[in-house]
Amino acid sequence: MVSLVRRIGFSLAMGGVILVWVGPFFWMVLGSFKPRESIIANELVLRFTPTWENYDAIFSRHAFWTYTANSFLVAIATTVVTVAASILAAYALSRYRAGGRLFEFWLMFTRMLPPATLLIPLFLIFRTLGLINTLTGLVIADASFLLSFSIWLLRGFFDEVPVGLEEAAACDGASRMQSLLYIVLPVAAPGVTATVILSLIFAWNEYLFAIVFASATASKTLPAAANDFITGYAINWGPVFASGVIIVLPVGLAALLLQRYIVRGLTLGAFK
Amino acid sequence: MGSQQLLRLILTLGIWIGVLAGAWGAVWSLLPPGPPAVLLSAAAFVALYLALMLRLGDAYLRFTLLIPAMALLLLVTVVPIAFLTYLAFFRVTILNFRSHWPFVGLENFVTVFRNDPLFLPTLVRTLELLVLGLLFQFGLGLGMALWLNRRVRFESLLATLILLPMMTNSIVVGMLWKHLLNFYNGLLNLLLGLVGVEGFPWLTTTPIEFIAALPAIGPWLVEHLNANYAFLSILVTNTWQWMPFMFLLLRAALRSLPAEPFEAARIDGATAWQTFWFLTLPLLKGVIGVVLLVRAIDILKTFGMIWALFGNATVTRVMPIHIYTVGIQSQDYSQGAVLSLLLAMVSVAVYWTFQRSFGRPVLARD
Repeated sequence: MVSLVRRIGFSLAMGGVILVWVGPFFWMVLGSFKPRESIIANELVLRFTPTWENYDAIFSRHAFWTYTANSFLVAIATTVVTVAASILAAYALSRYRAGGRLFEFWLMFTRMLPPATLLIPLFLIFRTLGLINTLTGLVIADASFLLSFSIWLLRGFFDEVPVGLEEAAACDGASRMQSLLYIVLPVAAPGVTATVILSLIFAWNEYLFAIVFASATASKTLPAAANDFITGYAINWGPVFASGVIIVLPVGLAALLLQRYIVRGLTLGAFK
Repeated sequence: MGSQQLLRLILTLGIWIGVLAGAWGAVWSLLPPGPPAVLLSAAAFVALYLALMLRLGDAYLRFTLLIPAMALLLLVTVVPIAFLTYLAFFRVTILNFRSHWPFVGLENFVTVFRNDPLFLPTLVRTLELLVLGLLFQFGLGLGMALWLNRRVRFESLLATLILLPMMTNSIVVGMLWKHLLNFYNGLLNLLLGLVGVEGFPWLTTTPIEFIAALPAIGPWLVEHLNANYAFLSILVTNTWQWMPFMFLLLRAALRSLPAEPFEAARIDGATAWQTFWFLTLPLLKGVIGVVLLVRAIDILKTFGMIWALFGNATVTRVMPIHIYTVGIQSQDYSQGAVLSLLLAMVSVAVYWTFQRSFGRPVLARD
């Protein structure tokens, strides 16, 4: 009897907790399909005729196809640059303890540094180099801020690959680069995947550099576009919800399908 | 490494840097500044880098492997920080950016402390958000981790739901909560209305009644320490988004603790409270230090969530928003640079504090 009560209590509490974290997302998805009058109504509207008008608005009246394409492009390019550079650096740190204390200190320092602190110098430098309102500039800025996190993560994963494997390969005449490519990377594949996924997500979500370095229509990313809706005078919530759904959708799918990698990356990223 | 080897390294690197500089100069003299020139330079860099790797081979790998990461960090963090420091000691705004930059010494710092009425309140608010945010998120996260410290049904579903808020763009989180906390038709006030409670003016600077009513310190807290609904909204939103992170990491740590000490404590008849205080907490100390530090650093970076909730309203500003407003919107580069330097110092100070109080370098590995 007592255990039944406890189980029911547990389920209720669990349900409440899930409601608190899922409810807002549910409300956002619901809101994105609501007609305008249901959104501004001063009561709980749960029954309404679903409409595509909000999605239609952001894709036809605003250039959301361009913004979505830009976001994907920035996320992928940033990830390629970051992961390529950090695989090499992480291997050097893991196997040679290379780089010295200064390099390690700098990695840690850039990881701590709030991106806002570099906003002004980067803005002035990029303006001189003609990189304002281009995706190139945004990718460079995003990549270097992701770099320290990504090196850190990959180094932890590489450390877990037994050195014996590489020694065996060396006996068989493999060069270091060969052993990195054909042994360390395949063995650490789950870790590399986790790093790739996390850096895709972080680059997809980056907004501060996006609104400063790439605010023109041709180079705008989704978060910067969503930002436009809310800094305006009167907020039209339908399109806000619709753009929120578009931004969360890929990340939500990743959280659902690739959560094993994400959790591993987050845990190792913090603990190593 | 022999001196001959070192000589070879230096010579090769020298020649290589020369070629790179040549290629770079050629690109920049032929093309106007812009993405094509930058991308071509980058392509030249990558090609020369691969050639250098092949030429120097395995013996120099410990140096060559670090070159791309170092180059990126040098160009996009070291140079900007040097430039930032430079800006802080000169007088540079949009007005004289293309002409002479006068050296002013510490004048910019003095201006920030004396003539910027928003600086101190903003700094206090940032630190207050840091302390209270950590407290809320850690307390709730640890509580929930202790509660769910076992295998539960729908484990993987729970993980997905937990991951969603922290993987969601902060701007979207801010937008969403701006709607949920709306006074007239926000979900929260509507739900409160259903149970007969009058809604709260979440997104306004109305003082929180019970704090304002505290004898003696109440008005002071309202005046100087943001005891208002707007700040509470920021705290609630931030906690909603990041408490799951604490929960996730603390639960992972709890579940990886050895079972024997707990077994022994149970046999010795320790109460649940004693077990927690004298066993769980000390065993978790290192992990707690890490999660607190990671979150502390992140809270200092907070921008999008508050930006979406309140824009650059002066009463809810934190340091990153103040930097953005002063340095980018008002184009006062020197003032912005001073604020940036101060924020960077706060970050370093927070890092050192954690390193000191948790005994070992928590982010660094030996």
